[in-house]
Amino acid sequence: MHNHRHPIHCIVPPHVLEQIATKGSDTQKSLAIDTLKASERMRGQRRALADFSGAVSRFAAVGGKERIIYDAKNGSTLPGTVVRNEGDPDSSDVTVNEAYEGSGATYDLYKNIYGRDSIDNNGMRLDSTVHYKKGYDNAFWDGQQMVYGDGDGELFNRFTIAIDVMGHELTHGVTQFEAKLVYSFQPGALNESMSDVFGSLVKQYSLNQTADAADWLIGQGLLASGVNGVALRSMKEPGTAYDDPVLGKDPQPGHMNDYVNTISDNGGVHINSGIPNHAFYVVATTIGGKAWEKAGQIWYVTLRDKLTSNSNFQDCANLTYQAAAELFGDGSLEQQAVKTGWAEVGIDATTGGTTTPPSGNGCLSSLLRAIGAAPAK
Amino acid sequence: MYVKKIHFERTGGFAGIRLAAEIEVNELPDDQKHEILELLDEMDFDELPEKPGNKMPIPDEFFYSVTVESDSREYKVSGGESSLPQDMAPLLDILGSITKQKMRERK
Repeated sequence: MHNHRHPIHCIVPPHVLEQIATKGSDTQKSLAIDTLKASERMRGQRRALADFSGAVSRFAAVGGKERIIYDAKNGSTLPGTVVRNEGDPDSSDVTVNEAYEGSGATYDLYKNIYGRDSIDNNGMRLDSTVHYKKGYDNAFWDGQQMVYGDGDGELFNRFTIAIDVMGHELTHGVTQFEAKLVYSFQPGALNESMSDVFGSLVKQYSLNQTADAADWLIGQGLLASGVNGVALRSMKEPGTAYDDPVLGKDPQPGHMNDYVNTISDNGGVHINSGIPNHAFYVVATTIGGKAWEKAGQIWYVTLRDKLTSNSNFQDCANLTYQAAAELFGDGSLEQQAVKTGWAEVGIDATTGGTTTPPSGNGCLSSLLRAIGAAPAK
Repeated sequence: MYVKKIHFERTGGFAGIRLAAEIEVNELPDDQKHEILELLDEMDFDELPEKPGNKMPIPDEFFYSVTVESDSREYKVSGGESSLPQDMAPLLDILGSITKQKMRERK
């Protein structure tokens, strides 16, 4: 891919471009729109760079699928030593191959189905480090790359074992560039749920499964052989993935009646994500067919264009309902399925909400209403 | 610093599974006990702020909470893995494995 440098790039301020985009000749308009889009992408990248200093060399915007797998060799220095580049043959290390294939499958789902070119929609290279620390029980997205531990072997196996883990981690990257959902309480649980939704879709897409045939499990195979459980989470039946004397029981609720109020786990982000997870499952199975095609499209557009950093479950319900109307028509079966999905978890999706005002304003207006200084809703 | 008990908790992570235990330091094997006391001493645990670093949470990272119970008072340090001091890592590792051991014994 070429890096087009247009003469009006970097010189014309955005507000002038916006003027041209609305009032210029047709040629001027399309030129200005392209430039605005490009600078939007640049801004996204710059913001990410500013947020994560030292990342410059790793944001090689080459376009197309480019993966690098690093090996931390059980140390904690990131990214570690390069062990597989894009296009290299299989490694003798299964973990390296799983990270390579999993990030590739995630890239493919986003590119082929949603037209998104990598995490930043600008060809960002997908970097993964395997064998992080010794017996490390985790996988995470550090703002720049994916990191995978080997697990302790007693409770957890290696974290690359399930393809949806790679989809989950990369989707944290997508969320970072799009809705920027803050990682606590309901916005955090939505952030987690988006990662589970697209993680599961990566798995279903790679297996070419319909919604009915899919297992809807997150992290299948991750629990070590002695542990009583099939996976870490179940989108189909939240709360049923494991029940083990050492690890305890899967704490996920699948309905607002069972919402867990806690300050632990950043306000229960890995717990209450069961609620929007199950809503997605119901939407996808109600629509039928391949979940990534319609339900996935509705969720993707909502993540990309509609959710904002402080959106809560109700906002997400309203915004997916709205997205479904825009994509498939008002009153369409798809939109009805969205309503059904959220109703199943105790949330009434309506067209009323676009984005909620910041909670501060909400508090102020309800206070004003309470003291009679503002009209009742 | 005299150490009676240590409360250890690890939450979050991709798995979202909570590990927690109350560790009676005097009931630990001698080598483990000495290693823990030495580590606490080296990092001046009793002088650490309760929440070191105020970084934004990293998706799926572990969140740790360590409370050391002395005779007179408690010292608590908590935070995301990336916001805690680097030299706490060996302590978190050893407390984590003791906790797993205790959780297995409990079952």
